[in-house]
Amino acid sequence: MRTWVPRETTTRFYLTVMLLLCLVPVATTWSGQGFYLDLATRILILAIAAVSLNLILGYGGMISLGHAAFVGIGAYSVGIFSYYEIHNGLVHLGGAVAGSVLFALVTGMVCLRTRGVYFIMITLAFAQMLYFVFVSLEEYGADDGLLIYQRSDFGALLDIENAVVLYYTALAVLAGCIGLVHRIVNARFGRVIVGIRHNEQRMRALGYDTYRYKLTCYVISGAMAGVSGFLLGNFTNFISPEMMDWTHSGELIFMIVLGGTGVLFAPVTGALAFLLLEESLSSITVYWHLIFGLILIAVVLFGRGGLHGILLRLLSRGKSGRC
Amino acid sequence: MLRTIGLNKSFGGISASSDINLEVSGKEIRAVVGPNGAGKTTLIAQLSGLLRPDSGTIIFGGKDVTNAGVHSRARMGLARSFQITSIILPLTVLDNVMLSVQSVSGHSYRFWKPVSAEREMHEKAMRNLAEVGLAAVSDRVAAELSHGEQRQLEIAMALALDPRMLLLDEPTAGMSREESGHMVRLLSGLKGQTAMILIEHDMNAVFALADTVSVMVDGRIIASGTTDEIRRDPAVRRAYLGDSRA
Amino acid sequence: MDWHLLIAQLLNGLQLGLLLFLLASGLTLIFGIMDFINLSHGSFYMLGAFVCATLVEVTGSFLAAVVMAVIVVFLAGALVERFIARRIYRHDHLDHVLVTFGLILVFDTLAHLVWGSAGAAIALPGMLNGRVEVAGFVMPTYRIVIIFAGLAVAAGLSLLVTRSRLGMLIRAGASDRGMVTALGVNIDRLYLVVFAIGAAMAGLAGMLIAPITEASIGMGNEIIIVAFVVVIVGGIGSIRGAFYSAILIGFIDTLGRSYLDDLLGLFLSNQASETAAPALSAMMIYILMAGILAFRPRGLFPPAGANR
Repeated sequence: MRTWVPRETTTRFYLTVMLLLCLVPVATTWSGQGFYLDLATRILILAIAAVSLNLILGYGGMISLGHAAFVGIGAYSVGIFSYYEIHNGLVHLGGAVAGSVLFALVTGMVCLRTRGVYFIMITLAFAQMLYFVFVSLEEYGADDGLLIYQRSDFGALLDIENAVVLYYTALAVLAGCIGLVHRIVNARFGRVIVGIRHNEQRMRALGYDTYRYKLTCYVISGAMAGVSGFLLGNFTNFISPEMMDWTHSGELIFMIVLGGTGVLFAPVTGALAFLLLEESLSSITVYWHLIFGLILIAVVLFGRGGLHGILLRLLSRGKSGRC
Repeated sequence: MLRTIGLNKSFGGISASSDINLEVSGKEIRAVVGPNGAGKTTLIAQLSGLLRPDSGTIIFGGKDVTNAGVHSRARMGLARSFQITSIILPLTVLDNVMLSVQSVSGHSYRFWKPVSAEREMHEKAMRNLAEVGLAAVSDRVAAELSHGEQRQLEIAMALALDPRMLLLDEPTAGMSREESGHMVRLLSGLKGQTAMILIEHDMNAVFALADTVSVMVDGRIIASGTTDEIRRDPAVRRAYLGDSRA
Repeated sequence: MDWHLLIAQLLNGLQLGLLLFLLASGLTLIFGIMDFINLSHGSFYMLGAFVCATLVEVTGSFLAAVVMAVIVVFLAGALVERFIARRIYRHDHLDHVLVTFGLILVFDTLAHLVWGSAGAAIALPGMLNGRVEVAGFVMPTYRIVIIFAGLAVAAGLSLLVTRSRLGMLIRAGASDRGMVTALGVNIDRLYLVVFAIGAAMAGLAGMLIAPITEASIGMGNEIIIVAFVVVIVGGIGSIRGAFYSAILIGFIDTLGRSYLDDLLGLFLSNQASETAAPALSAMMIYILMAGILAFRPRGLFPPAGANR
């Protein structure tokens, strides 16, 4: 039997991870390894997207295979406004949120009428639709995308042209999103979402209009992913339809499962593991996708609970050893 | 309290409800009995809103609810239990009941304040748990409860909605004699608190609980009356009771 | 109106529809019977194309290569079912998504390892490479071949499903899984065969298209999503639904791409319609899907008694 590990213990571990993330720019500046700051920034931004997906997938049980669409919308908001020489950061951010909320609302209204296999395939299809729409828009570079020559302008207070500032901005947004998800899932709304995940019929019989709750949750998640896209556009200085490709949605799911589905901080450790793995494998061989695919299959077949599961096993082993 | 007028429902030519006229008033407990396949569960499904009748009207608390969804009927005070226990297995017993309480105490579009800080909800849920005798196991995960306890939990969840009427689909299904005795005592303790429509195979339970009985055979109600009238009705004995006593 | 162009576009639409049917029929059966989401179904499409390309070079005969490649893909499907898919049928859909997503990475990289990154062309024999004239219209012979092959497979599949014992089990499985078990059928073997047949048909689709587009890595990953749309629109588990919706979507997609800007030109300025048309035509099949789901949440032809 597994020894019960108090939640505080794992939370302490995850907070330590977050704290270490605060020190990354110090380390990279000191050692002059700017490349690693870039990698870490990318990790944070994708972690935000994964946190948002974890809200609907991990807590709400809605397996969306189209989450990259929201990331793409956020990034295109930066790209398109910049294209028209509007650089105001609040406009970019507002566009990212408004665009992803709108897309979540419209597609969610259709997707959430269905469940199971249908839901997965329809979210996938709508994301692909958006992908093809941007592929067909010659004005915004079609397949080739657009370069962003100037990052979102937030005035002198927040100069995200500076890589370290951008890093800390992403970290703050990530912490904010984790905090928000934490509040949501422990508040009334989140309880309803978790209840729906496990027994929707029961929740309806208790008087909850489950469709509306799911739609609201879907929209919140979409908006959060839109913000991560906004950061991604600024980070890469480049946007293209490829950002919305469904394989990226699959990768976000992979990150969550790697970290541990439905665990608050799991998307962070998942994104960390995912990108570090990608980085190290791809430096070894061009055929790294093969190893990556095999790891993915192995995680499902053998590694229940992802990294969080491993953490729990380690902690409980340490504890039972002492007893 | 609840009235149906000419309810019809058929599945691919097989009639599961035909011309059902049912009236349950005040705090009455009405048992609906009948052999398997008589259409009892289909009737409950229509009353609770899970199925739409092909024709006919359902009136609850003076309002036409024929086209109202499951959740809006629940909000109006029509609570139900399921034939196959329907609780939220991975949550604790208390959390299950809290979800019921939450449903009737203001809206749930609250994203910030933790539920654990809502003392009143917590107290009410504990009262409902005490009512069904589960207060001692409130911290256990629902999946770990015995079958009988899970069915009690389901009743607690329905009660926590402060319903005006309970629809109970075989509350003693799959229970041991001891467990079902406990359930009957629990339900009879609710007499006079809320109206009930009770589907039940255990005739001892029916006669112990119900004020009135309706007998369903092949999608029709063939007789309705007080328990004594039904016990004596020759048509009912032929069609149903005779077999079950044999 | 250019009638020659219209006829050519209609034939293109039919061709696309039939290819989609080959992909979607296996997909819909695997969804319907095993309740399994196979994202990597498109990998069999790619595998078919590559294997066929190699076999054409080895044997020198397109027909022989197709026959042998179908067998190879059938076996590949059977292996994937036996060693991977079978282990996770009972898991939740999330696991299906992850594992088959992993399989895509594996298949794509293996193709890269074996055939290189450049892709492989398939040379058609001269006989199929020409043009034929039918009732005054000149068209490529090979398009006609694809259409006839597609129709023949569709007819064969419909015979198999409606007339044979295997087909009876397949239909029963798609509408009520419990019943098949109750009949005392070897479920494992039924699943294996269904999976492998589905893979072989996807592979055939890849072989048929490869002489036109070449075999390339990841070629299955885009078309598979359109095949998903076909499955949803047709109703999960329904071969008939997959057929009609594949043809419908084939026509709408093809005609949308070629005629939408003319059509919009009737209402909008030239420039506006030129900008809007490509975006709108890219969205058309998805809008169709949303529209159909709004009225029929289980698609056009849900199998009788399906409880999902």
